[in-house]
Amino acid sequence: MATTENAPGEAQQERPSGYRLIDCDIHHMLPSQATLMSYLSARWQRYHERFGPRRLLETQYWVTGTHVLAARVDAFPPSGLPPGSDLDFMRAQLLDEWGIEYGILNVSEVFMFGTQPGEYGAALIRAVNEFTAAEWLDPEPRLRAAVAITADNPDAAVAEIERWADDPRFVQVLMTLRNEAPMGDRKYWPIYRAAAAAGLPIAVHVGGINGHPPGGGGWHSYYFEMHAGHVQPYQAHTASLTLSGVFDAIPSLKIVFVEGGFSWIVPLSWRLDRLARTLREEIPALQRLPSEYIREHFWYTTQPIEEPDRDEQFHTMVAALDLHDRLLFATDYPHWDFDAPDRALPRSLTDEVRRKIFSGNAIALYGLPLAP
Amino acid sequence: MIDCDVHCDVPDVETLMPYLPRHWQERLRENRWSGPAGVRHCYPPAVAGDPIHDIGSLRERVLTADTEAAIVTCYYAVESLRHPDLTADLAAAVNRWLQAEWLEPEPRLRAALVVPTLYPEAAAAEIRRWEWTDRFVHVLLPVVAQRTFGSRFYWPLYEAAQERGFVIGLHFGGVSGGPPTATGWPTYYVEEAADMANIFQGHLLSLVAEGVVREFPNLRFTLLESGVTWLPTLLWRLDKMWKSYRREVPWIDRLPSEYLRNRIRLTTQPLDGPEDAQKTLSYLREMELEQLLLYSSDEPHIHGSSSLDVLGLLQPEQQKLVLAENARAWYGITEAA
Repeated sequence: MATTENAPGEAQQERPSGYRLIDCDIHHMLPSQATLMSYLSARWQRYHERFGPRRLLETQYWVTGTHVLAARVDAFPPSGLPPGSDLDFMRAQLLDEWGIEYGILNVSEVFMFGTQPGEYGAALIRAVNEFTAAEWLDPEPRLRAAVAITADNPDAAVAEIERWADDPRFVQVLMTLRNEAPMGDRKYWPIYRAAAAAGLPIAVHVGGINGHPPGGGGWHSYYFEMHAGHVQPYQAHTASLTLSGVFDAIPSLKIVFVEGGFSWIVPLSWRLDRLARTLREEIPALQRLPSEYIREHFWYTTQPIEEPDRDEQFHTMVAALDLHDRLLFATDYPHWDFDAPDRALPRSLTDEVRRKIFSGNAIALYGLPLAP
Repeated sequence: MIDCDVHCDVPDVETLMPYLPRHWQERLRENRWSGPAGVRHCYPPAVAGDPIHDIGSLRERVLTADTEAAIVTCYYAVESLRHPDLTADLAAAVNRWLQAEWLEPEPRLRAALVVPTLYPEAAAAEIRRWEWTDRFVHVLLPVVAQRTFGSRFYWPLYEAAQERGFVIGLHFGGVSGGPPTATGWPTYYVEEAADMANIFQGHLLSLVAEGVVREFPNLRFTLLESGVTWLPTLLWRLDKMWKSYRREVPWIDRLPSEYLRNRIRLTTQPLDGPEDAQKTLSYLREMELEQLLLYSSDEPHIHGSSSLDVLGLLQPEQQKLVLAENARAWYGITEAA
């Protein structure tokens, strides 16, 4: 089994991509129910066994669309554990193979546990964060992680953020894409205040179960639609955040959209600016135009990378909102739609921009220490 | 010019009474019903502008010497009523009112056909009640709906539309009873107005994924009051995802963008872009959107800017296409004598 002792920031022997790499979206997961149980109190162990998760009715699209755990077929470790649950195998297949200096973990369980109701959801999420710290961050210095939260239980979410605020290995807060309300809703502001106070960006990742059809146009039938349609709620969140005044109230709030693409932000910023001007009487307290908040407060991970018909169109979108400083490279390991560092970005990007996307932007956003 | 989206409004329920069955006349009067709440929900006074209630004001305020034809949209939120007969009868009443009081007196007009979208069989019957010569040119589907428009649920409606040569007009607005985003209810109307573009996107995904574009090879779709500039990023994503998911939707035998570029057109109002109109024009060109555009004024709605600021910068040949020729070809509107 390949293991290495590379500390972060140490010059790597090899960098297959030719660049310093920070992977901003890696999914680890619990190896088993037994592991989860070991982090739950007796009360919630029993609850989990006898009742278990609710709100699961829309999670079955994968049956026709993708395969087990949406994983790369080669990401199933020889240990027999689920993809993303075997640290040694992840070291070998991802961190060592690609010379990744830091990898940011977004725990897979957040997608189900993060939308579980009440104290049960809070207990599950607390267990998962403890598992992440003990079994991933403690043994592997190249890894950083997100504090998973239950966004629709803001009291519990704030408590969870505060629990980890002093641990520098937790570099962001992770909420799911589909919640009970768009992100500008005031019910979420206490979460944002806690994150800003801890210096943590809010990362929003595809996932979540809320009972609302995915898009105001109703339920879809296929995984294909669901996956392509993730951009809809990201746009709704952008509208909500930039029109709500939350950035006036919490100026240090930072938002990272993970796995949602980025090119749509450009036409959306035009639409939002027009609407904010035209309907100013509805939101008179808003201090700036939506596009200004977008430039200042939003970041985007690259996977799945946009693939326009021509490279120039990619560059047009990036240039329109100065996104060179806002894109964060991500592989989405161990999922099937992994973006390989040597292939994902358009070849016509300049060296300088590639360096920013592969590592510079993440270093600046997350304040990651690098050796000279 | 051919203006593909001009709004007229039913002034009050009493106006529709001559076109409604007697039992509804009695019932609605008894209950002093003032019309579907969805109209104001979708177009509150801040954006509705000064409503156009009669052909006289339309002529005076919108139709100019340059207007060769205009397609009137009358949004009456019939989908906010669940009673299967009332929603269908109201739709039919609006259409008969449009025919008698708008289309007959004004030969330059065409209209969007109002149908009960909650009941596709009834919608199909309404579609079959009209002939092409009646000058209804597209079937109005407000995009906030209970089911995405690719769903097999709607196929009876599409069958009738294809049979009668109607285009399908997907339009801003609509009432579903549920929230207009995948993540719940927005706080402000301005958010909902922004989110409407996302809903159009969901329907385009659905029309491809469910195979409507293949099953109904002659059916075409106009996007009304949808915005324009978001389209390319959606097409990139659809094409990319289709390469991965072909096994799930094997009936889609070519790039989704290829289907959609042939089968959809977008009306120009509102047209969002950089503040500099010249830059918006360059964007339209770079993203190959010009050929998909049909001019619309969307009068009397308030959008804060007019698409003519951008379209005015087009080369004369191109301008002629967007302002009239594209619509003429799309709807088969013959040149005025």
